[in-house]
Amino acid sequence: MISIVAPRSSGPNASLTESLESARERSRRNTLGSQFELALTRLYEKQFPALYRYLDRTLGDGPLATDIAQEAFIRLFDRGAMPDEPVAWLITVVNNLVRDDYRRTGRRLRLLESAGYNVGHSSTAPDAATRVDQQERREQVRAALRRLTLRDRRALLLRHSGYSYREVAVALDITETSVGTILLRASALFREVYEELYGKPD
Amino acid sequence: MKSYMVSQTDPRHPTDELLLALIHEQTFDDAAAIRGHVASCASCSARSLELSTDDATIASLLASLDHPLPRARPSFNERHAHRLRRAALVAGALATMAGAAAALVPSSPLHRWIVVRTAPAARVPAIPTATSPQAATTPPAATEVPLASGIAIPAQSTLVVEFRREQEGGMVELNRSAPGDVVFRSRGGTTAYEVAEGRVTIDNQSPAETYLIDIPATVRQVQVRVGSRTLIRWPEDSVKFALPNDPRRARVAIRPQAAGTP
Repeated sequence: MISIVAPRSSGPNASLTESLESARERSRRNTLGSQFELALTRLYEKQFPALYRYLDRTLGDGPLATDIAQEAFIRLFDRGAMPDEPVAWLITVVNNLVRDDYRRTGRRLRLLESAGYNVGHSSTAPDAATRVDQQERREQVRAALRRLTLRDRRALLLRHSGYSYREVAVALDITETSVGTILLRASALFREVYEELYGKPD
Repeated sequence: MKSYMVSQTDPRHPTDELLLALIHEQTFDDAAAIRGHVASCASCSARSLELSTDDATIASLLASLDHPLPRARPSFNERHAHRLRRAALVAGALATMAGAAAALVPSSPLHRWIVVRTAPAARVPAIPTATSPQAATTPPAATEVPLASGIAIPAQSTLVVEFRREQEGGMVELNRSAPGDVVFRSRGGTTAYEVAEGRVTIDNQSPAETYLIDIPATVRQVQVRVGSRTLIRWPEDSVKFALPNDPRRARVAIRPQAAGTP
């Protein structure tokens, strides 16, 4: 951090007092800054996997999910202080980024429809038949998810990405008690639609 | 999935929502009591198993969407450096604007100093150029020009200070200070600073009389360059330039190489 330094005062005592106060203030700011960065690093290590999983399942696009998840953490870093509910804050930011991304680039069609993405992302490349099966399963799951309302889909994906009911509630701006109801309804509809379209899952 | 709600017909049994919350290991009031009830109630136990199976099936279906977790991390350090550069640019611009503003105000000391310096008849005598290192330690006559605002940057182990161009007079004063930031100030002139990683460039287009640099003890090496030549190497040159009565301070005249700079 660079700061503008005021001209020195003429009196030696005033100068000393100012220097000490300035040093204390700088020290306090440095301490707060390093504490924030430490907290941010810990939050990243703990929350990035779930945030990535949620985005990956929402978007069907791993690199885009990575970009958006990282952008959310960068924005938190730029914010300079932890929000009251950091997890919900991150989810809200990524939801907004996803929405903005669709608006900006017309990527709406990518939602749950990404095709052939998995090539090159698996550590052990599956054979062609397995890849086709995986892709087919993905398309089926995405088709069933598309039948849910946005809120139900988000609640279901967030919960199954590892978020607690409380985090889901804060992120989606609903009451914690209604999360169970939404999840139950979303789960039942998702399962029903999937079985209707493709039969019972293996 | 069956969609009955056990509790609607029998208030003793928990709702599906509560059973699902138990499956999802959520904490809520009476969770332990409900868990105990489910363990001892055949219908609730069966319903809980059914919900749990459905939940696992959905989890498995959703997991089929997953791609491998990337190992990338956002580079907060890079971001920090970016913010540092941006702050340095802002600080430089502010310092320049402050200097320019001060120069324009007729009653300001800077304005008076510029008038004195630019008036041919009343030109301030040039700071004597030293012909030997010892001579360089002799400070020039004290001037009345007060210190201008400056910048403070975080200290690193090495510091390179570059004056963008040669200037005829002027001094650089280094002062070993307590741990903290490296502080740059100038007396007279209009000084703009550019800060990069471990390097500060001083734009001395409007030369100052004195450039004061407070260097905390955590900085191990300092190099001051004027144009393409090296003016100071600290600590190598510290003995050569240190003030006789204060070894923590060094004062060096800035002058072109042709004048015999060591």
